[in-house]
Amino acid sequence: MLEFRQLRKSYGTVTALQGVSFDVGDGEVVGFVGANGAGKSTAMRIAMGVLAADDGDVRWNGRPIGFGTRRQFGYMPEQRGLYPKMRIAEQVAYLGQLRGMSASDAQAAAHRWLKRLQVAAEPDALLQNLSLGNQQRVQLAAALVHEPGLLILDEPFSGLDPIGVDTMSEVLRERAAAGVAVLFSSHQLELVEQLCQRVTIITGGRLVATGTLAQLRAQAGRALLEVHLAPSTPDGASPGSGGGWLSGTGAQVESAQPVDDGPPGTIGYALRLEDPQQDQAVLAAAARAGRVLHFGWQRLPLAQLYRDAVAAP
Amino acid sequence: MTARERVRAGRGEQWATVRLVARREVVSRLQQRGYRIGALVFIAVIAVVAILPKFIHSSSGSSYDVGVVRTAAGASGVPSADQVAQTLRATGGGTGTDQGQDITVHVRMLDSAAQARADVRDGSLDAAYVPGEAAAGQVLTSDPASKAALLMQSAVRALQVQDALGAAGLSPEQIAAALNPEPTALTDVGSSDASLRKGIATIANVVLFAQLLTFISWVGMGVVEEKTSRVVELVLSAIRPWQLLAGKLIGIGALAIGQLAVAGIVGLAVARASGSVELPTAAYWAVVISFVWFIFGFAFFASLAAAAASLVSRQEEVSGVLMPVSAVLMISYGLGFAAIGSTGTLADVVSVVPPVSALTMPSRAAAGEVPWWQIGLSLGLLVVSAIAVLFVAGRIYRAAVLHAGSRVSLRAAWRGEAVAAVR
Repeated sequence: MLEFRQLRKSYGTVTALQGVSFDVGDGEVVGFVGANGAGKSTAMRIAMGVLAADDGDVRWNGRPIGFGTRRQFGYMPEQRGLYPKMRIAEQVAYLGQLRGMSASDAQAAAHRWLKRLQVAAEPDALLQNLSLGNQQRVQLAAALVHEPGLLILDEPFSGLDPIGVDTMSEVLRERAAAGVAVLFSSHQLELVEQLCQRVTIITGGRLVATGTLAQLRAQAGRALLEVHLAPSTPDGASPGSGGGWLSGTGAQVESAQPVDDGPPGTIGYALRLEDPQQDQAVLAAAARAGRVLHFGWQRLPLAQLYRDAVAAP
Repeated sequence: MTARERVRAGRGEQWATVRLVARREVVSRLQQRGYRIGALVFIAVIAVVAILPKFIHSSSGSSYDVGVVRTAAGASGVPSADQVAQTLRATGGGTGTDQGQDITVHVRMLDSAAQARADVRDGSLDAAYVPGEAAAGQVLTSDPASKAALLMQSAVRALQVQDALGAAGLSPEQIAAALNPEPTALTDVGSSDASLRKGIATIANVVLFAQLLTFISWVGMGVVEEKTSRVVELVLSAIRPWQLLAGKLIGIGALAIGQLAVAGIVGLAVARASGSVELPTAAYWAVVISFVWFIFGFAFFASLAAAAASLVSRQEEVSGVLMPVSAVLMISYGLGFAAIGSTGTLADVVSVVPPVSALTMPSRAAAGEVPWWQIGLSLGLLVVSAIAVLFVAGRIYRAAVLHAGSRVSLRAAWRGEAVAAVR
């Protein structure tokens, strides 16, 4: 498990991180979300030892990360970079050897990963002759070649075509299933939502939310209950009557917004309850008013959770 | 495994990483066509320089074209055109030898003094003889010190002497005997090779300078290439900065030394095989000294170059930031020339003080005798200073190499403020 503990870092007068703490468990994919300059790369670089924290530390399996441990991590830096004039297979193998692999293991793994990641080039092509998307795949191969127990990937999806995104997602899921802890940053929130067990949101160097999507939604404190129903009597529950059926629930409804994306002749509401526990009372009232077509807590998309989280004072 | 064994194993692994880095430096450069061509050109130039003296020697005119103007028989005591032509053919004609060199004289009969003058002026003849009517006649030449003119004068003089002896009543046999006394013996005692050794010293100075300048810029470019491509961040998340720096210096240094060794061997072999120069033992000795001093000179200048280059992030800035290092190298080069064949205190000092001694001592040692203690002192100081510079450079490099963007000030780098992250 990777733990960030009270990490602080300033560049001169600019504060990049002000006490950030969160962790990434084994076999878990954690999405690291935040605006440009929020401090994501700074935190990742500190974990990889290419930047020093002013205060706080990063731990792996409960212990501060030493050089030998860090070598076993897989890293994809924000600023992509490989040797432009080096052959790609040699390059990936070289980086594997730098992390302690034997020459033959490194070569075999390099070829295997280049193939697995569908790099469209001969193994002895020079990196600089590849398209950017293919260079990106080589970069990922360089992060994976030594079978790391932790992957720290800074914006791994940027610059990839849809097929590349699929391949990358598949590999990350597969690694996590093999027990690898994966931390990656991204601005593509739908991807994060699909891939991650947990999400960490950071803004202005401050952690504003961390947890599973369900936890984040709960924390957001503005869960909406969506109800769609076909009224049993034409006027029984018409919107015109101000949602008369609702008054019979006995639940404290803070607000009720009409939602009209249902089939014709149906009515829909997005309700905010004072006490979420009263949802069953709402359901019972709805059933009395007509045929319930849809009833459930609205799943706010991550994008909305993110906007709310960073907008919070 | 004891604690000591673990430490030793750890060190072994650390140096294995340095070897990996060094190997990449060598292999990736050898894979580049530009590098291979540069190296071959360098070795070819050395081979040409080694063979050049032979061409300069052999083209130094051991064959002469001379003319003799045909005249009616002149007065007594004035050699006729035929006589002169015959004498010239006999002395130099065919092939005679002069100081061990083959000389050939081609004689052409001319019709008029005017033609002789014209041919000498336009260079188609080296010299021409115009018999006089009463006096000894004249030799026309465009270069009064030329061997052709001297040969011609001595031929005429020999005829005059022969004539005079005949007039004095000597028999042809007596004349022949008088004109061909027992020749004095020639004994070759060899020379001190002073000019040859100066030549070797000059070549050593030029070659070492060119090699150092070329390879420290390879180091500078290599450091900045890693910064520009940002690969340094990935590499330094796996290995320590000193390992990357050491591997780079060792790899590029090995290329430089390898190239120098091949050039040295090719140069000596070509010189020997072509017989262009008789190599004195000192020449081999000079090559060995050049080689050793080059290794430590390279360590000194290349570490400085690596530290300087780590301060910048773009290739365009490399030559600018390397300027102070190149300037010291150029001064050393100038002093290297000054030290050749010089015996003053200045020569003693500059060939001992690092880093100029990297170039001045090989030059001086190649050109002449240098006391042993000075050679030892020079090497000792060079080695110590190279190690000291290596440490300073390592500290600057470690602090600056991960800093992208604007140029890092030397002071910030020294304090380790630039990044200060890497342990």
